[in-house]
Parts: sequence; C-alpha cells; structure tokens
Amino acid sequence: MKAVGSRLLQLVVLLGTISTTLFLLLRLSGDPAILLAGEGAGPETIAAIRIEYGFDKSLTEQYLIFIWEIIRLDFGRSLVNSQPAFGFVLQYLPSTLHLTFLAIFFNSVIAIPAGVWLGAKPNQRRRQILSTIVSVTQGTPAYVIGLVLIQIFAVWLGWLPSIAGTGTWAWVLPVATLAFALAPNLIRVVAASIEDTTRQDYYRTAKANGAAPNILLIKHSLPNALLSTTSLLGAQFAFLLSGALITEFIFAWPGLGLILVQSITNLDFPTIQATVFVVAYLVFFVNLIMDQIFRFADPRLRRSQL
Amino acid sequence: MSNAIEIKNLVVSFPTPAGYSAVVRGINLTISPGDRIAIVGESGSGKTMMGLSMLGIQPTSAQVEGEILIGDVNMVSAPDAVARRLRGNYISMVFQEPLTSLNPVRTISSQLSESVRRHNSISKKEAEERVLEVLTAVGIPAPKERMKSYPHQLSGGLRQRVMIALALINNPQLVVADEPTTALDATIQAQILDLLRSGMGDAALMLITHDLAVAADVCNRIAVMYAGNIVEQGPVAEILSNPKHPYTRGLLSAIPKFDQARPALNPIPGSPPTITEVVSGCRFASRCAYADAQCTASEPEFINNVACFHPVTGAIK
Repeated sequence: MKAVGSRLLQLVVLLGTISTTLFLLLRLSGDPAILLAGEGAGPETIAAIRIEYGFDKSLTEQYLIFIWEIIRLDFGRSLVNSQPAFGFVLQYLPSTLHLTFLAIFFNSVIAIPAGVWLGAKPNQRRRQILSTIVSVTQGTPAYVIGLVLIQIFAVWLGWLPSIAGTGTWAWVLPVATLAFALAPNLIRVVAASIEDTTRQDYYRTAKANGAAPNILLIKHSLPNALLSTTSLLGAQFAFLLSGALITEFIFAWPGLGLILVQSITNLDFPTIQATVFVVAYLVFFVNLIMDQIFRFADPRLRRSQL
Repeated sequence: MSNAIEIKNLVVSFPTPAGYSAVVRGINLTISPGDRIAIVGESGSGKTMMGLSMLGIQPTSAQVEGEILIGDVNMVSAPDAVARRLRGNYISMVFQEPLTSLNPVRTISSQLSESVRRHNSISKKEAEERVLEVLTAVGIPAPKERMKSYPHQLSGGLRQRVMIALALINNPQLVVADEPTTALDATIQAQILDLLRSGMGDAALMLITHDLAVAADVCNRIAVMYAGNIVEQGPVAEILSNPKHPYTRGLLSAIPKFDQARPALNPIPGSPPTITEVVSGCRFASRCAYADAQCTASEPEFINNVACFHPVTGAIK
C-alpha cells in the first residue's frame, strides 16, 4: 500500500510538472491567441479567441483555471474537428493498446527463447551470433525496419497491406516492425542475465548438489534472469505506448502516435495536451503494474518499500 | 569403500597469456571415512580450487589433471552424468558466503527438497519430512516456519546452518567446507564451528581455512598448503607442537600471543610467488631462513609428512 501511495505522489508531481511545462510553453511562444488563430486570421478572430480561451485574464488566474480543467480532464475542444479533445484522444487508445500488446507479445516470444539459447551456453559460435544480431539491428531505427518491410512485403511481393484498416493482415507489418525493433535489445539483456546467473554462487551451490544442466537453467538461472528481463519489458511497454508514433505514422495506424503527430502539425493544442496526459497516465499505470509484478516475482521486495 | 576420497597427483591450472599456470601443483591426499582434516593456507594457495575440483565444479576455464578417486569413479575424467550422481549425495560442499550461495528467489524448503529428490526417488511429502529433520538437526529454531522462508529473511548464522543442512541432507560420506565461518561474526562463528565439530554424523570433513586456531578446534589432522602444494601434514597436536616445515613454523609464530603484555606480530617476510612466476626448486625458498643451494636447485619431495630438505625439529620458542 505504501508503494502505491508513493507512486501516486509521483503521479501528482509528474502531472504537475507536465501541465506547468505545457502551460508555460504555450505562453512563451508569443501571444497564444495569435498562435491558436493560425496564420492570416483577422484581429476580430484573435480577439474572440483571446476571450474564449481566457487569455485576457491574469497569468495566475489562467494557470489555476488550466489546472482545474486538467483535473476535470477537460482539455477544451479540438481546433480541427471541435470534438472534446479528451474523448477524441480516447477513441484512439484501444488501437494503440492492441498494437502494443501484440508487439510486446511477439517480441517476448522471439527474444526470450533466443536470449536463453544464446546465454545458456556462451561458446564462441553463440557469442558471434549474439554480437552480430546486436550490431546489425540495434543501430537500426524502427522506421527503417518499417520502410524496409513495406518495400519488401507490400511493394515488391504485394503479400501484405501497408495501410491500417484493411483487415487482419494490416496488423502484420506494424506488429512485426515494432517486435523487430524491440527484440535485439531484449535478446541481449536475456542472454546477458542468463550468462550472469551462471557465475553466481547459488548456481555453483546447485551444481555442487548434482543439478543437471537443464535443471540449472530452468530452476536456477531462469527465475533470476527473468527478473532483470521484466524491468526491460516494462520499459519497452511504456516506450511503445508513448513512442510508437513514428511506426503509427508510417503505417497510418489510427493510434495515439498518429494523433500526436497530426495535432502537432495542426498546432491543435487541446489535442496535444490531451494526448500527452493520456500517455502520462498510461505510463504511470504500466509502472504501477510492473511494481506489483516485481513484488510477486522477487521475494526480497515483498516486504520492503519500493 | 576403504577411503572417502583419494587424490593422486592433482594439478589444476588456468590459461594465462604465458600458457597454462598451475594453482594446484601435484597434490596427494587421502581422506578416510569419518576423518576430519583441515587444509590450511593463505589466500591463493590453491586450497579452494582443490576443494572445487574434488566435486568437479571448478571454473570451466580450469584444466584438471591427476586422479580424484571416489570408489572406482575418477572425478577428473568421469562423464558429467556420473559425477553428478555423487555431487550433493556422496560428496557435498559448504561455501563461504551463505547469503549469495542460496538461490534468492526460492524458499529454503524448495532448495533443500530439490536436492533430496534428485538423489532419492521419494515423494514430495517424504522429501519435506527429510528437510524438516535435517533443519532440526543443524539447530535451526522453529524449522517448520523457517522452511517457508527465503534466504534473505534469515540471519547470516541461520543461512550458514541451512547451507550445512543442504550439504548433509543426503547423508554424504565427505563434506568439503570452504571457509564456512569467515563471513560470520565471532559468536556465530563459534556456534557454526560447534556444529561442524559435532553435527556432521558419519561424514568425513575437509575444512578449508586460513585460520590455524579454527583448524585445531574442529579437526584431528592438518595439511598445510603453500603455493599449490601440501608442504606438511599430520595430526593436529603434532603440527602445533612440533612443526617441521619452516612455513608451518612461520605461520604458528605469526599468531600473536595475547599472554604477553604487548603482543608482537611476527610476519613471514616476503610474499608467495604468483601463479605465473617461474620458481626453481622449493617455492618457499625465497622466504625461508633455512634455505641453501639445494633448496633453489631442486624441489623437495613429500617424505615423512613434510616437503622440505631441512625439516626443523623442536618446539617453537
């Protein structure tokens, strides 16, 4: 309970920082009314916006109103389609969540067994395979992988669609892009953790008690190695929720990333704010869930305060 | 089976840029059933590596030559599947660091019953009964509750008792204990030594230590190791009262005597050769007050329980 409390406090600090930064950024970039009105707007329009958004009030007053709106999850209406920004952004959440879950799932299914295989017997050949994977793929950004996959499977072979909303097959390339982007790092961490456990004293104890190699791996290496792997998976999950935006953009995937890119392009401030807050909440909940998973998996954390 | 273990000309070496260098240099040692022998030496003398290779669990980079005979199995050349059946069953080991030597994410009971069930075809319930029995035998209070604990929930002394329980759980013939009390504070140390002295059942004990007092307290025989060799061995009383090797004498006179008003430290001058260092003759010669030309010309054989050309007689002043 104490851990949840301290996480909640972190959330308050986090949201406070984000909202203050947003508030200041909007006002630092000149007259926000001119910014919101867009290029070529007449003085009457600007004046109307100034009153509508309350820019004529004092900064303190504006800030308090802003915070109150945020607490009520009222970010104003989108400048593009006039829908309430928060509800508008929420429509895109399930699609991003789906993509994230599938990518994490396939990423784990590929990377964990591969990492265990590489780390369990660190001989010359497996080391070479590992360092090749890492050096080739870790330097490749997701959008390059995405574009290469589109070029091969959508353009040359014509097997898979490259645009979202065209049926089940449309999921394949975005999920593959994200899974391939994340897998090398996970493989590397799993392999390193497994190898590290073989140097631990408890591993030697198990060996001194006659444990066979497969028992050593399953009962002694894996439970310990997966602990460090879990924290990376959590970070990757949070990264996808907030950072899959380029991949979503490439595949025209109707998710939070695409909305964020579009709203920035359109200078649609209410939508930008709503998206940023939705992502912040998501990352917070992912971290909260990760805490609980750790508490469950690592007996050393069960009674301590995180 | 006449001996608990018989070690013949054991050499353990590691690859270095200059080729393989030996940390254990041709050890011969026989341990009889129920024997209590202490292997005494400085850090780096090869005593731990000798202990690990007796179970066949030396680091993978190590090269082991010679024979380690347990019955008709040679642990040096036996296939892993054969050696595995002896480990934790016929021969077991207690390590120095009780916290890191137990798996942090598994309960005491699960780690101990894993070992019981590996070597005996018994049910889970029978294994847990055995775990309870052995935890009680090594003096763990409230053993039933402790079984469900994780290693970090126990104190250092209790953890080392668990390690000893793990070593004893399959009634082994030989327990190798590598500095089992070094990581513990003094009062707990005494309790664990008590346990090693009187709680080992029929098992022979090989106690690896740098502490002559601990060796004399628990064991009836001492073997002194220096730079990869056993330089002297014999019954405790003989080694303590009438040491023949100048190194053993040096070790004994280096112990401060607290009956004097101001105990003076009498260290042995110099330091042991590094494992890559090429030494001609006796490896202790450069630090030895009795050394002469013969000592640097050839290496002394181990005869009459001592490896020295000029064994010393008489008590230490």
